[in-house]
Amino acid sequence: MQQYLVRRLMLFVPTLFVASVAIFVVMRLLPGDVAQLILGGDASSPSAQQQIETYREALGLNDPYPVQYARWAFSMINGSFGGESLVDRESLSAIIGRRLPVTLQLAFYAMIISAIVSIPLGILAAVHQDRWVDYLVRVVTIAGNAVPNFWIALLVLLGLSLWFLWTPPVFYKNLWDDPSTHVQKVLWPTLILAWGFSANVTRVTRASMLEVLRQDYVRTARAKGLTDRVVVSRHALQNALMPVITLSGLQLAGLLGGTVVLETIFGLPGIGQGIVLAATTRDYPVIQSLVMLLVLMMLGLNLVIDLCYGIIDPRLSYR
Amino acid sequence: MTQTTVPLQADVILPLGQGAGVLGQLWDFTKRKPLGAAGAVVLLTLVLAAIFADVIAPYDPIAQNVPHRLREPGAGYLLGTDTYGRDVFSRIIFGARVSLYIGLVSVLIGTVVGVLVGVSSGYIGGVYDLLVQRIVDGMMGFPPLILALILVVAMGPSINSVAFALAVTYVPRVVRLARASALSTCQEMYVDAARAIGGGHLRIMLRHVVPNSLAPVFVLATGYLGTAIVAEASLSFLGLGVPPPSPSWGGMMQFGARGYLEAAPWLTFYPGLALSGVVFAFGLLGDALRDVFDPRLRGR
Repeated sequence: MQQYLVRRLMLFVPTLFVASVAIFVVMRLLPGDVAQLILGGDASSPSAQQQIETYREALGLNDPYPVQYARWAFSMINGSFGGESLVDRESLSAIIGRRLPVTLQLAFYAMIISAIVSIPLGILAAVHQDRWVDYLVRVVTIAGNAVPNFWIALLVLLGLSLWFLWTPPVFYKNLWDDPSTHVQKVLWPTLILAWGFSANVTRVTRASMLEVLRQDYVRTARAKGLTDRVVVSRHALQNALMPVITLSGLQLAGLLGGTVVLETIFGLPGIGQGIVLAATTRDYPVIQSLVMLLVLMMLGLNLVIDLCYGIIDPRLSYR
Repeated sequence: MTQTTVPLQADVILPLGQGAGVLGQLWDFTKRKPLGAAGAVVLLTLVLAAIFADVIAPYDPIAQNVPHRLREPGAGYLLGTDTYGRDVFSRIIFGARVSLYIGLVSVLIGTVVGVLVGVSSGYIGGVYDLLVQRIVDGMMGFPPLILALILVVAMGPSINSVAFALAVTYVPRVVRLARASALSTCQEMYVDAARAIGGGHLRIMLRHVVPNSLAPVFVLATGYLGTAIVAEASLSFLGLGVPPPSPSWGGMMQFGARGYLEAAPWLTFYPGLALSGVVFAFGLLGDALRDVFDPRLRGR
């Protein structure tokens, strides 16, 4: 177990390094001179050139790239997360402190809802394979996979405003500050996210249950006279859950980055919306650090999933 | 919960190719996988629309005609017009061209690069393999849409930079798959035989390992075509994809959603409908292809 942990962690570090270098390099490819972009105006006059030069020096843009990279990487660790926004000088730790809870809450709600809904649905569809329940579940899940969630989101907004004359509140509030506004603001994006999320979980639950229900030990359990309920819940379900857990973990990671468009449509000030806003204003320290934060969370989650395997499935020997 | 009968062998399916010729095979596929065939028909329509856009579209997709702005769908303008008086139907038809171009180019680049890197990584092994795998891990650490987004921002929005960015996000997935299947192909007898008769490494890789590692990559590619088209629409919707005058479904939806969602819902509704239909069709076709190519999943 320890050996496995060490090995897994040793792979984690170079992976993180590669990802962070990739972000850093891509950000250096941004067209235009950042200092000039911020100062704006005519850049040809000598005084403007002087000003740009001073500013570049102040931002540390004249240092060699490895030095700039090291400075940024270190700041990600010591908690300042790469300085401040170029647009309004808000510090990145404040930006993250403000935005991260929004994305996390959204992802968390969506996962809870889909866990409650999709596993029972998947079991139901598998147990009644090729009956109407199964067909209904399959159609709904295929649709959930296929229809782009931002189109659904726009239709929902349109429908709510046309038929119920309801529009979501303008500003986001955290659950602990203003529960009513929070729920109104978050309800629809959560449901839409949860639909897409549960579509996959349901499909995998169903496929995995079908596979397990064909196993010999399930036939044995049934042959010795156990009721269907016991066979399904005690014998089949536990063995069918492995792939479901894997998928849920991977999807949660995807959810963290996949909320971008929904956050933008519903005006939720999360990480994704932050990246899009920063991208439109070329606020590169913000893009760089927010993307790195997402990558950190995704890689961290994958690590946790891998480690969980061993706990859930004792058959896996840690090599 | 009444009785649960689980058939041991759901239905015995003959492998494809029982019918005579290509048409016969197509007919076989249609009979056996009607949903998959329906998906294929939708996609064929998309391809035809993209190729013959100039013939089908009644209006110029870019030319403005302000006196006719915001016409409701009906006679004259099948799906209405936008705030510049451009025909929504024509723009959707030309948008198919953009979607398909970006989807195909990104999948093509991603597949070629991914297969070459993945197969060589599996075949050569050693330090090279280790290095490639760490890079792949690093790239897989990005949420796909976010990686594409920062690449497009860095390159400046254009049709080609979107295609390239989506290819980059696709490459690591292909590399993984191609490497895995190359590893198992390398164990085959015919690879040993090729080496025994003195085949060079490059020849063995290109003539034997690559062709025999392709099947799963093709299934992945079908699925990714749909994903790439949605990703393009999402990027354009965020204003970080295909730049405005070019008709793109995502861009059209953004245009409609900004202030005209209630006043002119057709601006948002129809491009989204086209997008959903295409992705749905890819899903159906992909499922059917997977069933046909992967016998373990048959009857599910």
